[in-house]
Amino acid sequence: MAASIPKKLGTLASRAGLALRKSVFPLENGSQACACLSVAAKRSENNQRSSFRTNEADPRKHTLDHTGLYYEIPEDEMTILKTGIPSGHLRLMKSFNESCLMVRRPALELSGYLKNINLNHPAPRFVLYGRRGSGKTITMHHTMQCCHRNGWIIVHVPWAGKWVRGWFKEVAASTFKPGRYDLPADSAEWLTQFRAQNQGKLQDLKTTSEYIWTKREKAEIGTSFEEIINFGLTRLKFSSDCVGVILKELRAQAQAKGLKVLVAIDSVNAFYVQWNKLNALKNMEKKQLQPGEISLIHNFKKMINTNWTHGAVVCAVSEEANDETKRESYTPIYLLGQEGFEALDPFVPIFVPEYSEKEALSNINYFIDRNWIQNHYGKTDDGKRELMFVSNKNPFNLARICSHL
Amino acid sequence: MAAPFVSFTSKALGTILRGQPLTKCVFPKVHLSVYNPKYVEPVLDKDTLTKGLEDGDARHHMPIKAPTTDLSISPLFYDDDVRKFTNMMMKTGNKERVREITRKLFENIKHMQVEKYNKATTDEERSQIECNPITIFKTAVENCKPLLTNIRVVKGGVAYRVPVCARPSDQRFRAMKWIIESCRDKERRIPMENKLTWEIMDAYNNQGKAVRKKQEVHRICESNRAYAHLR
Repeated sequence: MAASIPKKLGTLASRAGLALRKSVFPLENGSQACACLSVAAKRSENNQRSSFRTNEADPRKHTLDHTGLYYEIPEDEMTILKTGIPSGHLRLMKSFNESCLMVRRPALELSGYLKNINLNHPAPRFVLYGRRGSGKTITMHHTMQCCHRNGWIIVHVPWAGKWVRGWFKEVAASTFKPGRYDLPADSAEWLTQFRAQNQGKLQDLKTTSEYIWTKREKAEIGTSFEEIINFGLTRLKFSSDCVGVILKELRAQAQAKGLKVLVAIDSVNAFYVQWNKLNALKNMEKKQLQPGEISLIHNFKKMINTNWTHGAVVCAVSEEANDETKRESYTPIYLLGQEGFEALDPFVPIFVPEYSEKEALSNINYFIDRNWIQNHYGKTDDGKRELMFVSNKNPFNLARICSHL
Repeated sequence: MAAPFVSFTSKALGTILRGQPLTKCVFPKVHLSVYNPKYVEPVLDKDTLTKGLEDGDARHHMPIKAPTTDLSISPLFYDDDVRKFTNMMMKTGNKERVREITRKLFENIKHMQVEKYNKATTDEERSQIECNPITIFKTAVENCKPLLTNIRVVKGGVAYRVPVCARPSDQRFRAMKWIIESCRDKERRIPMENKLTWEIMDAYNNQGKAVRKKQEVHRICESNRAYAHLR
């Protein structure tokens, strides 16, 4: 270890790694360490937080050197990003009085791909997969923040599983096409969220064709997106159709106007795999609905197709969206099933692993810094090791175990 | 060589004690354990376990109780009071559920306190905020512990409520029981962990139903102090 340290000194990575090592396994003779580690060691001593934090708040500038470090998200961006972040995570952010996410390798990989794609090619598809609680959703949010800063239009589905289940949800027959069913409340919710996430990017977008809602109401050519959204929110009956219109126009105009559209869909397997009989949505005749029969899902499936350009599709497959009998594996081919795999193929799979040793330590140190871990033993090296062992370095499990310490 | 002698003396002492009841027992003792009273508790201290017992320790020659599944040597996940509290809350052996309730209870307490802590601007404010949920829980239980209890004594055909000193185990039991019962009385639709959070934070500040219950018991003992000689 001693030989490798001076070699790597120049890079930020070694500085972070060194600080980590120092905090967990304190060097025995501090004076000697100070002599040979010069600038780097001094800096890390001045700023104790640097072992698990980075001052680089811009997600576009994150590199592999920043992996395992926390960065802070400004409040105004949190309003865009907080849809879809798990409630427990949001609660922690509130208690910690700051919103921080960890920079992790899959997110960097994904934003690297997005940086280098050729937008004139058909929209590429990326599928995030990994074990439960390994951070697929947070990875997606990190990428979304990157894209938001780069001026992409974000089409985000926080949790697709919501659209295929429910007991007392209002299901209305579609006015646009018989045999399809609308979810007015969910569509309206999505519209508000879409408007909030893309504030300031939708002004100069106008429709390119005419849409006739009823005999008396119609949207002329050149209606702005804002008006369509407002119409959908006031006339809930047509909110699903409004979603369809917006998605269609985005696909059509992306190339012409040089837009960049990011489609981020969490738990995309809900689009293809039937949810169990008991909790699935039913129509007025008590017949269970297939995911494809729901107009929202039908519209979003078109976004996944490759027949449009100037966009990218980022999906995550999760076990929770599947019925309990279909959760044996976490790989895309198993979770998506035959139909889903064929629809998404070819795609770039991105594996989201559980924490590495460094990341887990960084997480625990962050909790200690925010006064979240109170147990005295939990603050010692043995305690940290025990926490890592018990949680198997799974991010969700680690947070859960630390929740009552 | 010393050890057999020790065990012999303790045996002899035991027979003497059991043969002649020296003190009059106030509470009728019921022996419910499956173990013989000679059995001692298992060691739960990590350091002692790694080092091993000292040579002169009597436990080398004593039978030890087998540890139950809810005992643990980890200082992270085990605390005797918390174990007791969890078990007292349990209904029909549904331990998984009460463990989850206890976990959420501590999580709630921590969220309340840590939020205050992180929002505080000066160090002075911060030092006054107690964030450790176990400490808060223990202080709350401590605040609910009664010093005296009543027992029923029948003398000359009349039943008297006689105030007596409460044993430590009894104090702990009463305090926890009152906290749990006061939460069970509240609105049914609110999750148990939320009700417990409020109750424990109240008890931590010496307020709330459980503390009032303790004060009531003390008042009864105070009014019945004339019977104190009857025990």
